[in-house]
Amino acid sequence: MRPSDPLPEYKWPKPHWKAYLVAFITFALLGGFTILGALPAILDDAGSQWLRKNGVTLVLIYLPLAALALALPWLVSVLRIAYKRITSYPNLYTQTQARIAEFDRQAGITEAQMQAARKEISALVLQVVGASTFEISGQRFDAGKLYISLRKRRGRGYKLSVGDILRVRHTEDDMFMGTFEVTQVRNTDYIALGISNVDALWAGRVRERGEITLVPNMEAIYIPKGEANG
Amino acid sequence: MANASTEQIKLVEGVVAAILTERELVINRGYNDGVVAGMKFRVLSEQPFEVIDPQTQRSLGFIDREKVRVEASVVKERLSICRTYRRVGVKGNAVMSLVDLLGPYSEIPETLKTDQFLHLPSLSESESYVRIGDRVVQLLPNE
Repeated sequence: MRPSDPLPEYKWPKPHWKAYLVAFITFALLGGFTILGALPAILDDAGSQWLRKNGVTLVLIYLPLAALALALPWLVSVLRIAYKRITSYPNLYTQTQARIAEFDRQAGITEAQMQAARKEISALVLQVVGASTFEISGQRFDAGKLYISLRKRRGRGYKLSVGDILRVRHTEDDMFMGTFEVTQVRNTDYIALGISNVDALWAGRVRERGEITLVPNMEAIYIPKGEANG
Repeated sequence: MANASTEQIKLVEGVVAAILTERELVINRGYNDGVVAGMKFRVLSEQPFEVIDPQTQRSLGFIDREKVRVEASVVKERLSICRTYRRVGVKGNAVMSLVDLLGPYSEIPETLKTDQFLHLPSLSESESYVRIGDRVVQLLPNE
C-alpha cells in the first residue's frame, strides 16, 4: 500500500430507530390479533389457568427477543464493520507509518536544505567581512573558567597571538556562545580563555564532563582589535 | 471575587535534572505538570541576589539572577528536554545574527531593558554555569 493511496473507510451503520419502532408496533399488533383469534380454541380450563400464570413472564421474555430480532440486521452490520476494521488495522498501521516516514523524509530534506543554505550564507558573510574562523579542538573547565583550544591552521591564514579576541558561535543557528581571549600559543594549537558572556549551559556541560575533545558544532571567529568590546 | 488583575498565574517551576549537550538540558517537569512544547524557562542561580537599601542598610528583598533561557523542545510525562534559543543582543535571522556577531555590539541580554539591572554585580564564578539542581521558572509569553 502506497502512502498516497486513500485510507479505507468503514463507517458504523446508523440504527433506524423509527423504522424499528413502527415494525415493532405492527408485529406486536399482528401478534396480538393472532392470539386473540386463536384464543377461543386454546382457552380451555387448563390453558386458561396456565396463561394466567405465565402470561406476564411470556410477554417479558418475548418482547425483548422480538426487539432484538428487529435490530438483528443492524447488529449484523455493526459486527461486519467491526470485523473489517479489526482486520484492516495492520494495513492502516503500515500505511500510517509509511506516511509518517514520508513526512519525516520531506521535513528532513527541508531541514537539511535550510542548514546547507544557512551554512553557505554564513560562509559567504564570513568571507565578505574577511573574518578568520578557527576549529575548536577541545574544551576544559578549570577553576571556574572555561578554556578552549583552537586548532592551528597549516600554511596561510591568520596567526593568532596572545591577547587576540575571538567570539564563538554555534554553527547550527549562529547562536553566540561567548567571547574568548587567546592566552597561550602552542605548537599545534592556541589556548583561549572565556572572558565574557560565556554561555552558562555550555560552561555547565564542560564542567560536568571535565574535558571535551569533540566540538563539532561550534567555531571561533577572530575579531580584529578595536572591534571587540564584549 | 478575584478579578483579572489580582489573579495569580501559576508558573511551572522545577529544577535542572540533567545536562545533555552544550545546548540541551533536562528539567524535572513534563506534561503532567503543564509543560507544553515551546514553553520557555529561565534557569536561575542557586541563590537570589539580595538588594540592600543604601539608606537604611536593610534588606529590600531578593532578585533572581538568570543564567540562561531555554525552550521546551521535547515534552514527556514527567520531564522535558529544553534547548537554549538565544542569549544576547542578537536579533533577526541567522544572517543578521552572524553579522551582529562579527561587528561590535553590546552584549546585554535582551530582556534587561532598564538601566537598574546593569548595575547588578555579575554572577559569581560558581554561579556562572548551569548545574544540576538549578531552579527553572517558566517565562510568560510576553517576557
